[in-house]
Amino acid sequence: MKVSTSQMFERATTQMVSQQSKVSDMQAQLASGKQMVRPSDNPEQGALIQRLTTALNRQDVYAGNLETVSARMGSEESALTSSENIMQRIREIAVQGNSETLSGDDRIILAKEVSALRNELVSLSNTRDVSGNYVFAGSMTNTRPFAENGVGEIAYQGDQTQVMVDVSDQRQLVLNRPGNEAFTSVIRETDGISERVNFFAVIDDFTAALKANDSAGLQVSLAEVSDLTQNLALAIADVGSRLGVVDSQADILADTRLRYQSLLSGAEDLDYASAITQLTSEIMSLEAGQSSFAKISQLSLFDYIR
Amino acid sequence: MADILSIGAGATQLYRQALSTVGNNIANLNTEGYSRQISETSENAPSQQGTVFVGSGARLDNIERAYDEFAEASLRDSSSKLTTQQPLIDYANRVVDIMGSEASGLSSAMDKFFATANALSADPASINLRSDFLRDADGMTARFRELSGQLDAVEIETRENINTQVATLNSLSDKLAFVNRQLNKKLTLDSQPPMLLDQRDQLLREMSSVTKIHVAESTSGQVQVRLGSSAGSLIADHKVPYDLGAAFDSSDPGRVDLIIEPYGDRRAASAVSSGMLGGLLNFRTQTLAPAMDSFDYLAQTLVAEVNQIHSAGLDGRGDPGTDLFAIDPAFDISAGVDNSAISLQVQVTDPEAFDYSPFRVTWVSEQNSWRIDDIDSGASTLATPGHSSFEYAGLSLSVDAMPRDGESFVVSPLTRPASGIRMIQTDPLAVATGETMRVMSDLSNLGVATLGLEHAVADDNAGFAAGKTLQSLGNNPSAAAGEAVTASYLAPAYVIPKGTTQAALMMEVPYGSDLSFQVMTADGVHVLGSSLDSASRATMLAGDAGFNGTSSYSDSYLNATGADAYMDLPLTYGFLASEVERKDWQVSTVGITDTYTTTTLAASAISDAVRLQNNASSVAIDLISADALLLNGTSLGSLSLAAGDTSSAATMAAWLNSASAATGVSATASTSIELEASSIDFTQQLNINGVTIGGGSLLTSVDDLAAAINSASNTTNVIAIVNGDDQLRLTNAAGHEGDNITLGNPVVSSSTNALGQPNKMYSGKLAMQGSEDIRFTFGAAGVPADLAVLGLRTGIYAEGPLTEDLAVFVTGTGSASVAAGFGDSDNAAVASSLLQPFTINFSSANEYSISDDTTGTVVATRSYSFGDDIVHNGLVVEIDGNPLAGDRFAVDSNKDGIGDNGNMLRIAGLQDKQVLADGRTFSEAYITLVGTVGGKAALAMMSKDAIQVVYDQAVASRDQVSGVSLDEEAAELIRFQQAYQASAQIIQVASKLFDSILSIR
Repeated sequence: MKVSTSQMFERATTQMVSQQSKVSDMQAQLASGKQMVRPSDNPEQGALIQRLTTALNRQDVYAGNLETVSARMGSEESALTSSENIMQRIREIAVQGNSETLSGDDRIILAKEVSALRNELVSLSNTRDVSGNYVFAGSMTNTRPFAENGVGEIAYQGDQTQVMVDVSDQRQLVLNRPGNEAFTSVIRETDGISERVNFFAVIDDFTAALKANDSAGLQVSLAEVSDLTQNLALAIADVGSRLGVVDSQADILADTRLRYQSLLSGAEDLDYASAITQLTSEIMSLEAGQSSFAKISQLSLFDYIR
Repeated sequence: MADILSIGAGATQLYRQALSTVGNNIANLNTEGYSRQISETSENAPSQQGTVFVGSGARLDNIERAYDEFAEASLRDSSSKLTTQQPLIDYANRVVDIMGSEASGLSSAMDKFFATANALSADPASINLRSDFLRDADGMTARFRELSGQLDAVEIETRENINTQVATLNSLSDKLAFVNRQLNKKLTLDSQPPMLLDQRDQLLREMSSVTKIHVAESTSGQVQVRLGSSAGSLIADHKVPYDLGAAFDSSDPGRVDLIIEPYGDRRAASAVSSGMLGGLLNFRTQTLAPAMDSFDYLAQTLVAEVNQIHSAGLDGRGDPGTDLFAIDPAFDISAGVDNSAISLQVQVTDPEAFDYSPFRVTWVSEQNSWRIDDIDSGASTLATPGHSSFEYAGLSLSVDAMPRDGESFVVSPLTRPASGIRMIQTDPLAVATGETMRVMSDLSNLGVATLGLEHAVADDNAGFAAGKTLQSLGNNPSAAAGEAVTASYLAPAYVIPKGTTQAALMMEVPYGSDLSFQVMTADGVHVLGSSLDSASRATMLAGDAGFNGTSSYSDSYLNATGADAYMDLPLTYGFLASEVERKDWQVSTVGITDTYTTTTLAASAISDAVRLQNNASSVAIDLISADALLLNGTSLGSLSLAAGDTSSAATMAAWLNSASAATGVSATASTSIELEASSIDFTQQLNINGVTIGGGSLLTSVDDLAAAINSASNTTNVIAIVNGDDQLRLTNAAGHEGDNITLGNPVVSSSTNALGQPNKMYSGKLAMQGSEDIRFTFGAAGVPADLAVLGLRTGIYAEGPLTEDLAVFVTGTGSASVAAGFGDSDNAAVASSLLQPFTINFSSANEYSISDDTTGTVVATRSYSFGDDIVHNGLVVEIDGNPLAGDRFAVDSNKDGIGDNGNMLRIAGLQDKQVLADGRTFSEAYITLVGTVGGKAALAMMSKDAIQVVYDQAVASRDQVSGVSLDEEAAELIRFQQAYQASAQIIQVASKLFDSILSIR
């Protein structure tokens, strides 16, 4: 089949040019380290990469939330532990105060200690976290949860909302513990009528019983203080187990992240070995094209006509 | 000698021409579209010498153009197909590169938005995180706008490109027409100069890369070109070209109309689907327009969803949230005249006043102002004087320089959500992270229970829709418009929907009937009506009316008013006429102004005819028992009827007036009988109150009748009045207002009389005036039939907006006619009622009551079993634990709960919500959008590769016929050169022969 001269030149140049562009594409791939230089190179792959990136970003968000939960629970735990220690001391005093051998003056001295410990408890119950939010106020994080009213009584001012936080696609964790669940109240029965007495009222009553040398009141106080201490211990245990959940969730999260990252890497990253091999072969075919063109384009009948 | 010399001369000439043809081929090696020329030689006619034919050489027959029309046609064809793919690949790849990239695509911005939303939900009180949230939301809207701008840029480029292609096609067809005219000079194809034909073919090839053409060649080589196929529009015929034009629609990028002769005899062109032009059109229709639509839809849905959630929450100040995003309209501004030196800017200043109709603005310099013409309606308005800026329909328009007279712009507003999306909020504390309501256990509760609060998904009182709504009766309180309704305890006759204002439902109750209204709430609270026995109560609550199954009946608020009323609603059962406010608009010299004075008209009412009751017994009876009726809160004494007496309006008016000092209501009675003069029967006689009128003689005219009646008025106490419309009215004489009028006929057998009315006693009506309202209510023993004595209908009235559905039963026996009146619905009142705090009180472990905190009303008393949810006011309270008697739970506003993140969790949860078409999430929908475009590009690339092979083949086969090969030409060159040298040698020989003849002496 006859090939016209201009056609021959054109065909050769077209092929060389397209080979060149393949080589420069490969070079771009190698320089960027990615399989796709532009999203239009492989749209389906691009969509997959996008999905994986989004999923990976979400895991980062969850990790951030887990840290927040962990930090928050850490402040809770330390406040509750300190409170428990104080309550242990108060309980000891209650046991001591119930002993028959004590005099009224001794009890007054004990009352002073209990009073001081009570004030410490108040400040512990109003703990704030690193962002300045009150930890035990429910969702009213700018309001002091345990505040004194006009007559020196402490009442819980916060609410009882449990704030949930996303820690994975399927799981939410509770962030906080409302103050009335940490510093619990007890039910006191007087003359057949039951009523609830709050945490600090119990301690204040205990102080009053000590000052007034009221042995019946002191017995009641001992039972109530024991209850409060036990409830605090339960709360600490609960926080501990929640922290355990946070840890295990963090592990799961780390695994998930790793899985997504390796999937992403597989979809996105360039396999250098095969890329370099391919580049070499492309360069070789370009060189072959160029040198064969050089030779063939020299051939002309005019060279042989004198 | 035929003749060596001439043979030689002819041969040299022949070969010289052949050589120059070959030289021409070599010279035109690189000429575009050149077809190889071949010299055709043919033998000269031989000369006959005796019996021998001696040849006489050769001559150049023709210089033929090497041309295969089929190869040309297939080359044109595959060239069209090949160029179709290119625009799709280029532009689609560009769109994918911009939209799918990590840095400039939407996915990363959306991820960031949801990520900060999630981070904010972990610490909603933090001002920093709130600012971050606003910043990332703004960033997302900015990204939307940028991407929309990029898509717009692609649209503009393709549009320009289409215009360029069309212009190219037009200039090619012009040139082709010129060539056609040149070709016209010769008659056959063979005689046409090859250069012209080459030119013609080159033009056709270029045209086919713009769009597929159908070529019809005539014998002279002229061509007729049509678009697409043999049935397509003509764009060039033998003499004239036809221009092509393109028209675009700014609101629909996919729509491009091709027009033949846009500046002449406009007609639609046939469809173009291949070539560069076809490729661009396809791209716009199948890729760009759907992508822009999907992107706009994505933006619109995102704005709607986020705004809906955000407005339902509580912000950092405890105020309800407002919209977070808004969508500004986009404006397509086109200059009315070309090369306009000024530009117009448009901005929305008042979104409420703005409508989406397109308009034109023209500068009228003699009035020094802009004239605005609405394009759809044709209405014209003049703006305030001044060229630089003016206002119109909620828009502010401005130009940057002085316009010329008559200069105009056409402004078309478009809804392009993706280009108009923007953030409204800038205040971090205005981010609505919290829930509106919260639930708290009272700290002194003895039971142990934890509570959760959710919003109810379904309307808790949907069951009440079983009754006909009040509004279905039509807003016409008059008795004539009443509808019949049968009494029943099983199902409500009507339901008054929440939000109704000024509701009134009135029933005509016959005397002695036990019909009554009963109005109940969904929780069984009996609000208006008469007291019921327990059997009736049970029947009503247990029926299919849709009452809350666990609620128990309560009559604590039955007919209570004022501060004791149910939810402090202004409800009345009985009869109510209110004072009316009238607005008097002030009139000034210019016309009616905006100021008005309000006049309060005192309440007034007119009853129907009062009950006629004759006391045939020997003792006085009570028509209305004592304390049965209360008027404006004052209990009325008994209305008694002495033995032998007949009741009348006069006695009733006197009875009402006896209490007017306390009630503030005064009454007048009047009896009147009105009739048309035409209904008077002059053949009959007339008795009034026993007195024969006219002394037994028949009367002839209305006036005579009236005069006769009036002359007897001293005895009858009835006067007659004739008015100008020939109407006769009988009424009481002065001092006897309200007395009954008895009509009769001295002829005992006749049942009617001269007035054409039946012979009987007629009672009067009561006209009441009150200094404030006129309000009749029932006492303990009062029944609607008592009001019927006074000629009044019994009704239920709710003056203010109702915040919940009320069911209206008609109880008793029989049926009655009921009419209704109502005002507009007040949805704001209903919405704010959903935010009212309430308290749940457990009276025992199995029963609780709900009371509204604002009014103190106990709205429901319900039974409780372990694990039940408590549903009220659109909220669901979930109880986990055992409440004991005395436990209280309060549901109120979450104003101080700045750490509550319920609403922000919902916004973050939008990331997973499958809210778009085909159940896709936002990021899925975006990925699909980009993927679709990318898929089309990939498909086009595959097609292109396949077609490229065909194209290359077509080029090769054309070149095989028409292409110039240097080697071939070199060989020809040598051939002809040698032939030329040989022919020259012939001349040499001929010359030698002649010389030898010449040398003969």
